[in-house]
Amino acid sequence: MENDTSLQWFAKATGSDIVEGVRGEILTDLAEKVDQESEKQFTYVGGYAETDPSVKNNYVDLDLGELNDRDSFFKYFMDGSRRAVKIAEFRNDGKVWPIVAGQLGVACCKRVDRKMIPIRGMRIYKNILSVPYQICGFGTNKDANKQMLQQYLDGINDRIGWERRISFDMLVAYRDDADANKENLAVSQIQALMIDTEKQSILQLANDAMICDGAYLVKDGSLEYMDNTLTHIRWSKIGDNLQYAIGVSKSFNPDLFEVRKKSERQSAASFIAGLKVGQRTHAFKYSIHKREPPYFAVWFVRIRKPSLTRSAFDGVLKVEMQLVGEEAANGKSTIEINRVSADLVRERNPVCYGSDSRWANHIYPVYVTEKYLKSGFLPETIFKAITM
Amino acid sequence: MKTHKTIGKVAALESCPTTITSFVFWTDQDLKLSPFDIVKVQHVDDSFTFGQVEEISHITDAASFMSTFISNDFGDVSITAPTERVGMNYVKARVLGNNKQIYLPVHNDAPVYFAEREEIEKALGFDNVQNKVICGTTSMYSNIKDQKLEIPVPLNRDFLIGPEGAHLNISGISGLAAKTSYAMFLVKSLIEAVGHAKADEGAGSVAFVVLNVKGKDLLALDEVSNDRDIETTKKKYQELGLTPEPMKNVHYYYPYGGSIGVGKPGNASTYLPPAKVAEQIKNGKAKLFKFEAKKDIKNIDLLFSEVDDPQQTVASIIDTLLVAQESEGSPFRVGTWGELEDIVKQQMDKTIDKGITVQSWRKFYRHLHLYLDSSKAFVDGINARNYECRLANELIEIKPNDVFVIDVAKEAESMQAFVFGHVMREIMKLRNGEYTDQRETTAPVPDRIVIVIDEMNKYCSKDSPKDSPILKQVLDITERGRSLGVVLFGAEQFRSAIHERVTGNCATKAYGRTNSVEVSKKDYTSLNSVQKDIMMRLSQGEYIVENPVLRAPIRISFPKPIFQQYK
Repeated sequence: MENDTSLQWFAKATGSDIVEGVRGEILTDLAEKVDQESEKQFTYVGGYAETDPSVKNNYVDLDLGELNDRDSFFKYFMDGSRRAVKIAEFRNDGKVWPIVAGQLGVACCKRVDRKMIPIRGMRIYKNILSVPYQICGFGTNKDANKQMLQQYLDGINDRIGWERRISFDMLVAYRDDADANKENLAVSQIQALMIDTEKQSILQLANDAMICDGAYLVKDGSLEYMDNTLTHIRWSKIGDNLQYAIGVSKSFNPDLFEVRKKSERQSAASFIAGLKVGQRTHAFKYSIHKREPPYFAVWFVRIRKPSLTRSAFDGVLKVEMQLVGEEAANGKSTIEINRVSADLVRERNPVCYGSDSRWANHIYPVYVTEKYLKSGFLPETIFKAITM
Repeated sequence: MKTHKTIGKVAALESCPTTITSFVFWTDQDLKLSPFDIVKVQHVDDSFTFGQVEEISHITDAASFMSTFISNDFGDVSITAPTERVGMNYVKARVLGNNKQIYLPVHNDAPVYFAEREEIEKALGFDNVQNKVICGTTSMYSNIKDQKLEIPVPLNRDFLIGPEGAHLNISGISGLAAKTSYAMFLVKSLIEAVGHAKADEGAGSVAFVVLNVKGKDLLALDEVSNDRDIETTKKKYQELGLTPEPMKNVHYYYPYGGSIGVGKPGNASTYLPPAKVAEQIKNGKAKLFKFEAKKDIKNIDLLFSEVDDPQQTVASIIDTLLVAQESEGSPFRVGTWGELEDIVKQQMDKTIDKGITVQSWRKFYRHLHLYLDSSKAFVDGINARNYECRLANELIEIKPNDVFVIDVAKEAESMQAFVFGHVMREIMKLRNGEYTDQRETTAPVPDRIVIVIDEMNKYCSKDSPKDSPILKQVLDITERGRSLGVVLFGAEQFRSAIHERVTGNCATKAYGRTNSVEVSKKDYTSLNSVQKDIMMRLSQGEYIVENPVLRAPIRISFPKPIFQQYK
């Protein structure tokens, strides 16, 4: 085993065979599917999540004129991302299992005098190897299983060789699920670790008293963090720190939201599509699952004219904020929601037109943060080289 | 240990690699570097590679112009976005060298720093310059607070006035380039450099003959300027190690402009006020020069330098006349300019040998009459008591450190050409040792005699007749003068108009402000596009200088003239 490559060694160590022919398949599209699957798991609580009842089922015209008299509340911007590459397939116990290598990263920038500045120490990368639980030979003792994972990790890292310029920070095991695609399962573990890293970063910003009233954090994507078996930071620990954080999603499933029309519930898709520039919907009330706290206010705001975009939902952002304290019962202040929404409309410029197909839904500071994050990712060729 | 301020990092791309001659680094978009600034890059073995800034580009992450248009709400000029686009400058630099002589392209992400004064001097090759003569000051980081440096630029005089390399060409638009002022700055700098040099440095001696071809700018080189900023100017001269004084040993020569009465000094054909001329004459600094037919007919070909002579008939007549002056009893032998005209006139009515037709004699007469009539300096009889002189007699008496100023500004172009050709011819003969017996002064002949002239395009343009005696004379000096100790400092508006054998032989080139049409000519191919572009924006008193000892063209400035310039 001394001259084995890292994958050969791991296959032998787990009693598996390497399926010939796999040379590094990039699982980018798959990662998008994992996001969409996650969104389905959130629960619409029903009712409204803001203090002014008159806005129910109505569009709210934002007062954009007031923006001239004040600075934006958005100061910090965060993005998390991951890449996944299928580096091998192992044959074990009559089944074929993908071995997925990935890199996750989280970065945070702040805006000072209209300029984007990275925050030192807040660009984090981790290299992850996602392997099937079933081949690892785990027993019932969790500590022993943990130790075994560490041994696999050390064994693989020792054999990768310094010239490959990569080592893994963590080995995670995904469990088989008859209903799910195995590659999705493998990527979802990397996704869960990315969420965990995002949580740690938000906690750090909050602990350092950086995010506060007037210095909001805008996070790319959803805030609706699920607790995951892999994540070490429970929701209860992070929840209150999200008071001054908003999640802004470029894409969403409008059919997950409902509006009442003549006492009948129906999809909010048409309602959302009808937004004009500078308008928002009322805030919907959401929970992580099972209609239990913590709750979130979710609403939609249009930042671009539909006539200048490709589809009805281009130019519409999904916005989330956590309902903290009495807000859980009374809803978020309509004034604050309007203020945040107006600030988002202001973020419509500049655009990343020509550089990113999602330009109509991107806000520039998040786009820059994403670029900053992705500029530090390892080249995919390095992951592919592990298969050699 | 010195701390270096990092101003950027090298970017080596697949599409734009670093090479042993150039590299690109990125830097903050607000860092006010300028073309010609020198930067240093950390390199292998703790060495530094030095580069001269060439092009500076600014980019943002906008993928297209459309993107920037859309970013203003599809063309709303009143929009101010809450976030500035991410932008940076990337700077192309030309490698000047490495302090450990390592010829390896600099590496990606290598830090880039401002260079210190000593490092810049080394990078540009100033530290190895022998026999220094200051040609101006170069500014580094001039727009960067607390970093600005003013560094005197030395040239090796052996490469400016020989023997290693010689001749200077100064080009630039009239007025904006201040060509004659720069030439005079170099004259002063050379006189002082040679004067300060010790004998064992082999400095040799130098003297100058300056032709004033327009106005009266150069007719008070030995008088202090009455400019209101003169004290500042003096300080600048001192900072460059030069004395804050005008030149010494200056002698002025004005064309004789006619008599005003028996026994009185004649008029001077000059734009300088008569009282000023009289004062210079009274102080023994000026004389009125004449050309005597008997002695100066030998240079008569110079008068016809611009006459189109495809059949060589004019040349034949000149040959006939010149040969005749050597033979006793020849009918063409002349004693005065009047006699010359009479003899030529007589030939217009008969055919003589050598196949010179009557038409040719008529053509020759027509020109001769015009030329001789255009200047009163073609007059025989020199009265030394009235401060009159024969120019050639004065030229052969030139001594080390002398500055002869010959004013021809008010003369016709043919006369200006005649005087210039005359000066070149006589100086060449002097340096060739032909006048050793005739010199009255006991001082040695200067080792190097520099002839300074503006409007070079009149005498050696690309359109000059191939057989023009003046063009031949200029070519003779630029091609052979270096070894004989005769040096030409020529200036013109458009370098591209000058004969390429003249510009090609100039070791030192000073490019002043010029225009876009001019820089598009092939004469400027040795300069890159940024240098050409800068050339169109140079201020008065600024030049881009090229010299064999400098590792790169350098942008320099020089102080205002310290001598009086009559306007």
